[in-house]
Amino acid sequence: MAVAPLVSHGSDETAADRPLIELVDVCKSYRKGKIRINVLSNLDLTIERGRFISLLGPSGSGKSTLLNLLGGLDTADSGVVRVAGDDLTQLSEEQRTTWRSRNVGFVFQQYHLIPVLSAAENVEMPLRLFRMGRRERRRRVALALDLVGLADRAAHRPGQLSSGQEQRVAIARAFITDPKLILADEPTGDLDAENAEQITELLGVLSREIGKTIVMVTHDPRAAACASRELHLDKGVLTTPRGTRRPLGKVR
Amino acid sequence: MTCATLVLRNLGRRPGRTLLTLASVSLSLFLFVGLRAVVTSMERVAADSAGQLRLVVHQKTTMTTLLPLRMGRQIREMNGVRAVCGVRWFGGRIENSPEQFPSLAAETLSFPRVYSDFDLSADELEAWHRTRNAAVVGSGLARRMHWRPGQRVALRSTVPPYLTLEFQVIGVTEAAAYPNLFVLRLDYLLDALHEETETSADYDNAVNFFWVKADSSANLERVRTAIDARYAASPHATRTEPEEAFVAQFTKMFGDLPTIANAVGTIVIAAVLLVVLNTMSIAIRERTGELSLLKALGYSRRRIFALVLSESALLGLVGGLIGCLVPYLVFSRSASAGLRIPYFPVITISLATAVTGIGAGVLVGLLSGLAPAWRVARLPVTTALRSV
Ligand SMILES: Nc1ncnc2c1ncn2[C@@H]1O[C@H](COP(=O)(O)OP(=O)(O)OP(=O)(O)O)[C@@H](O)[C@H]1O
Ligand SMILES: [Mg+2]
Repeated sequence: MAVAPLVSHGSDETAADRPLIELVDVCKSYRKGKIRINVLSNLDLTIERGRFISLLGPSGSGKSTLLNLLGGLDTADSGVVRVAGDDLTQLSEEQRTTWRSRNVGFVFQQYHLIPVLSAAENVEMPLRLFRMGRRERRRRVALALDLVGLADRAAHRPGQLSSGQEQRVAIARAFITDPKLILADEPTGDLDAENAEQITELLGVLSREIGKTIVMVTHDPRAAACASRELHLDKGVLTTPRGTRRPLGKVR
Repeated sequence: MTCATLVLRNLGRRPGRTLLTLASVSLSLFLFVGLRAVVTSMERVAADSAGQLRLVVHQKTTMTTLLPLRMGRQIREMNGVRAVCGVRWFGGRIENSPEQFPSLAAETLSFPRVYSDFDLSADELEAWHRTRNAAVVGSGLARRMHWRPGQRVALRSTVPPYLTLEFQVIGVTEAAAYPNLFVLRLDYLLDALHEETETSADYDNAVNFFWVKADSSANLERVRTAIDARYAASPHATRTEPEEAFVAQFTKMFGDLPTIANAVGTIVIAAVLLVVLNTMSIAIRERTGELSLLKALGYSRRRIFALVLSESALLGLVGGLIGCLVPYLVFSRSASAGLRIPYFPVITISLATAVTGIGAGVLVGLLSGLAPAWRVARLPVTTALRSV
């Protein structure tokens, strides 16, 4: 995307050679009444910049939980969650909120677009948190919608778009602020094969051509195969199956 | 796009629900403002009459027991008294007309002196003294009945012996405190009573009360106690009150209106608060997912809180504008544009009252948005996004 970076990358710049994501000894559990459910225990994970990771695993294995930790939506019980130079476990709720607006873009299974706003306005929402003129915002929104192939749908509301188009709007919204990391939780879960392929392809483009780091949860082996690396999460253990680590830029 | 756009679009999401809420807010605030206007109009009349240095003297226990006219002459002789006007209740009604208005017979000579605030012109004064069956009427009454100076009017009394008398309207007063009053000459009424009945002179030469005008506000209280002291031991023991208190007591005959009006106004505001709270709770519950999504995007708790609060405040503001500004524009301009109720001062809606109403609307909006806004702003993002 031919736009100037939004955020001066501060402390992270000096550590540019460090991995984007470093998880050390992370534990996460949920309390259900008196019972404690350990979802993630003593998890270690390193993800280099610019990787496209697909995260697989049985239902209930904690994929969404992990993604929420990476995106600063939730906090770990213990351990270090270092993403883009910041240890998220050390940030307050308010600081994490600001951190999210600058460092992550989210794509959800159910798109989560605001129905009363047009496609362009939905994409614009994250930009409104930055000091930026209206004109500049418009320009960026137009570019982003063009990139996802929806330039002619800018004025349409979510209700007037197909599911595939809705998810593409959501992807435009996820990268509009030029975040380092894009987190996608089953982005193709509600889509038919053809649309699913388009979405995965779009995420691939973001990874290869703009160098975004992407972590995508998926149940679809075909989608998973598009990634540069597959991670499997099962019973709290992360593994990379043999042969699923592909060289960067040689996806598909 | 601005945040205002989002707020407006959110209100437009369920136009039916928004309109119904607006309707209840504006109707309630209209009622609130109407009640406030009644109270403030009564207070205004009381305040106006306070400036008139008038006392009213009536029989100690009841206002219907008559006092002999000669008492007026005695009071006139007292220190600090400028003028005294005996007044007798006539209670006239136009035959076959539902119209109700107070009609009083006042002493010819002293009436213009005690009621200088009637503002009669020199011509009207001259006609009042010259015409035995003269009548001065309030502007509201004159307008409703299409009476002009020179008009002949027949009224039938509602008190025994139910006289029917003919009057000639010689003046219309614009004084805001007396929009519905009908004033006739006491000598005309007493002569007619005398002709009509065999009653005693005690009945014929007597009045319901005296209006006493003091010569200065410093003397008002002294005159008041002096009058009551003078008649304390006589068969015509009196009770003397400042006009202000008398007006208040008079209006109390219609119930303890100001208190009731204020209580009802408060209840109405509380009720509409619950209506808006309900609307906002439902609206925000429906939108929990969206608002949490905004949080995921980096919108702070404070922004989410403000977003919800602006929406409910806007509901209250628009409801307030409809409910208060519209009646203000209709009823504010002049006494003649005010709302008329028999036996009441003209009710006008002052700008202050209208602004109070609009302020109440905004406050209701803000208060009722508080709980839903707080709840959704504090909700963890993951819980909300998982439940949709
Ligand atoms: N907010 C929560 N409160 C209590 N338990 C939770 C909460 N969120 C997740 N869990 C539990 O944690 C475990 C992991 O859930 P998670 O959503 O991360 O699984 P997942 O791998 O994403 O599953 P799926 O493939 O079905 O989406 C589950 O047992 C779930 O019930
Ligand atoms: Mg999940």
